[in-house]
Amino acid sequence: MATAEHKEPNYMGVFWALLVLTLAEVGVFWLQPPRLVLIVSLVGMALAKAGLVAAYFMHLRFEKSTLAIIVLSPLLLSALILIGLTPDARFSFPRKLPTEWTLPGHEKSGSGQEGKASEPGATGAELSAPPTGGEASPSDGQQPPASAPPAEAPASP
Amino acid sequence: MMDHAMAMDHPIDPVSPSPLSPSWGKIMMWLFLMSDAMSFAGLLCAYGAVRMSNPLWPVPSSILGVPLTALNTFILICSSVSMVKAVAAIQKGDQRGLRIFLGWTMLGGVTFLGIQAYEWTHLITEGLTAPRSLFGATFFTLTGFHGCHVFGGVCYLSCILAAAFRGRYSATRWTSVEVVGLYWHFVDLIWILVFTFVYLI
Repeated sequence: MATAEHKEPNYMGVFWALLVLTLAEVGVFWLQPPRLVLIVSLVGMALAKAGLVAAYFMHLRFEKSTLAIIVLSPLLLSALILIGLTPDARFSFPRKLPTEWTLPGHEKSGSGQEGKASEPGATGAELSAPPTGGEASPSDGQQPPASAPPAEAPASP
Repeated sequence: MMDHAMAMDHPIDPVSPSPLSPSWGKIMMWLFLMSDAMSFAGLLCAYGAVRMSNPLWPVPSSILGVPLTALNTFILICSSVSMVKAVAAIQKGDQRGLRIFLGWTMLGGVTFLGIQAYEWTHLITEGLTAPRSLFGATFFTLTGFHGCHVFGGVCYLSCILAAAFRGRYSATRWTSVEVVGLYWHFVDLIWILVFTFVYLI
């Protein structure tokens, strides 16, 4: 009943907390601390804000805990997406993969003259001087038009 | 048909559920929001993966305007507050308060969209387009997907506001208002994350 839920949360308090956190985020952004500090603090504050919105504005704190657990499952699932995408983030650099791919245990039989010989050099060259990053886009599959022109010059504007 | 739906309304959607057993409308909205959260999680993770694999990724704040977007974040948070005020008002049976706060919430959403449209126009005229750069593609996809949600939310709110003007809600009948509130707060929550991950980091 409305009266049972009537213990109205302090919405203005949540609002001020969100405002202060937003200002703190922008403040950290302007200060530009070391990269790791920046990322950790910003992500922490963003998650705190999201948690405040979900807990108080969306009343998750006052629902049955079962609902809260069910609803929080996307957090776990998105962590799985993150893990699944990590190889793409890490290993998309050797954009020209060796044409003859050999498993580590099969170098002898493969005698990959092309693959084996060129792999370390190619990887190093790619890592040291990747002139255009446009080729890395097929991994995500979200934005097919992005990969069409290989020249990625986002800093131009 | 309409009468039938009206008659079915009560057993399906209990008028005033106890706080311990959320109504069907609320549960279904939560389920939708969970799947929607997964869509955004996919887009955000894809953004992160593409960005990490490109060492030449630009510093986003060198292209995007952070102060304007911080203002936009603030506007969206304010509209969330007016949304909870609207729900609290109708739970006390305050029809006028419901309409006023729903109106403020919609105004916040429309303002957000206006500022975003201005930002997009500016960026596109400056040369940042989706086909031209991977940053542009991911940026426009993420913020555009969110902007579509805001637009949908404004339309949704306008339906609820129209029903409020017809006097459909009361102190014992406010589930729909609470459900639209859930959607609106979710859109706000997503923007908080997008603002941090795309603009600040």
